[in-house]
Amino acid sequence: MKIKFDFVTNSSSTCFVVVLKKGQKFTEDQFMKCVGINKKSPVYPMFLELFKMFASNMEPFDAAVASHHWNKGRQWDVFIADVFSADLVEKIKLSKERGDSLYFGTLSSDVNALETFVCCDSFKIEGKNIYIDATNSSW
Amino acid sequence: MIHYEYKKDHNKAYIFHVVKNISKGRFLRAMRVGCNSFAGRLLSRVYDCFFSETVDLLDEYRNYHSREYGSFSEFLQKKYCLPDDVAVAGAEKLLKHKNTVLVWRKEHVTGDYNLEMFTMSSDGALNILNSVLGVRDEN
Repeated sequence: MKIKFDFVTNSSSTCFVVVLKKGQKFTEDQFMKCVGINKKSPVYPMFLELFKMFASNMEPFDAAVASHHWNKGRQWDVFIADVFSADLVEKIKLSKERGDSLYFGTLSSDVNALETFVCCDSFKIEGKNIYIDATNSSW
Repeated sequence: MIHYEYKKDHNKAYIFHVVKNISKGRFLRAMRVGCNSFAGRLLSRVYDCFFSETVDLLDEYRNYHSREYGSFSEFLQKKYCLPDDVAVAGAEKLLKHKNTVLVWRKEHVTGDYNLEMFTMSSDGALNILNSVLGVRDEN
């Protein structure tokens, strides 16, 4: 048994899904268009940080799901049905059929203020070529 | 922008010195984000969170307490439990900077803990709010 005598903190993690239309790439320009930010905006740096956060935390869907620590050897469809909403599961299946690029990523609440907020919030970002879904987990 | 931060009735409370009458529309225009974009909705939530249940201290004093307390700074000391020097400095700020306001608010009034933490932290959204709402040459 461990006994801790100073501050005890609790961290959270959550996962998100990125769907890119067939042939599209996850680029800064695409992302900024999708969230509605132009280069002259004073909050561009914050959204650039958000873009980098997604980009550095996402991996190709199948491999990421197979190796995810929440998944204990289950088939990918069983795992996602357990983790995501029925709508998102449907969207993932449709995207696979269409040949879209699918990514899976995780965020943590103990990195910085922005990642903590995004990790604990529930949201979707929808654009012409990009769809990001982080609705599965929130406080 | 934060004039003072203290504990009142077992809760953390803040006093902000901000420019008066910056509407949400004006704030979003200054941020150069569209109202219907993801960025616009996010910053709109931040703005609403910041102003949730805020009290315009001078308005409250003039409307309800000017007969009870001899001066605005006395009102701040006795009704809001501010130390004498902080109360006097707050009243002086309003005299020195026309078209500004001292607002008071408790912590965690919105019911969205995550959004409040992000809005009120300087490495989160507080600096963004400060860039529009903050009083220039405050000192």
